[in-house]
Amino acid sequence: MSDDEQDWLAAFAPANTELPAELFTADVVRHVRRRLWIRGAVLGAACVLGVVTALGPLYNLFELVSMGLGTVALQWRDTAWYMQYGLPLVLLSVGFAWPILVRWLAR
Amino acid sequence: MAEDDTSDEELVAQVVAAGDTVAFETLVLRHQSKVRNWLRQLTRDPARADDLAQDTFIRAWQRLRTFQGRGKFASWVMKIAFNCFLQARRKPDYGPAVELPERHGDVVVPFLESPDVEKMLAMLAPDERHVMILCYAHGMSHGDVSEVLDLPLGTVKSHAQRAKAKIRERFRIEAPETRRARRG
Repeated sequence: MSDDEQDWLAAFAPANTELPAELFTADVVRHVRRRLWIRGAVLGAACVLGVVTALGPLYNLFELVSMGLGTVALQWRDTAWYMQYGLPLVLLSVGFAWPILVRWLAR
Repeated sequence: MAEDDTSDEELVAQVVAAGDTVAFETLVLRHQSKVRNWLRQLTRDPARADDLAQDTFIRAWQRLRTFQGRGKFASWVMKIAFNCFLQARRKPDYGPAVELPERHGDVVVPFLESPDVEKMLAMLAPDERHVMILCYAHGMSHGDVSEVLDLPLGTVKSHAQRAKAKIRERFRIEAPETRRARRG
């Protein structure tokens, strides 16, 4: 480094004096922790509210699915059943298979 | 608290991975003085500068995932501080601009007896002032300054040269060659 550069650094050194850190740092960290707490509380409350709101519909859905599964278990050998629900079955299969299909096409 | 020899990048990784507030506290402890001084020089108001510095670190905490580790953490946080300052300055309730000091006499002075930093800075254009503060008060390289101010490297270098020439001319500071000749 040249003498000139050192002179400029020396001249500007008073503009970067060390400032006391403790109070400022404690303030910043307190703010950050408070934000974390608020975020956690809001997320927790949202989860609880979501579960409570969805409880009724979830119960209905569970009932419907278990009924459907019962029907499938009893009638899976019956070919007429496949003909009756052909379109939903095809859509369901496509729904499950499309990620594999897309990956295969991309390759 | 995290160990002192832990690098900034390692501390950032700890904060990002586990939300480690102690690692973040170490980062704040390390860089608070630099950031607060930078904002004090920009705002010329210590209270406002500290408020902006607090905003800077909270913003840094929120955006820590975006720190890629390509540049230095210090430059990254100084850039956030500069953006905080620019945003605050755009608000209508922001205070008056910096006043220029009175013109110095025509006495030639050796460099180290030159006028105080405030007076030197106040006579420069904003970009030149920012470059001089970062280069010489904070000892940052031209590359780092160009990152903080979002200016091309060549522009940073020319701002530094122009600022130095202005200060020398305005305060009648001897050029390095003259000084060397006088010393010799």
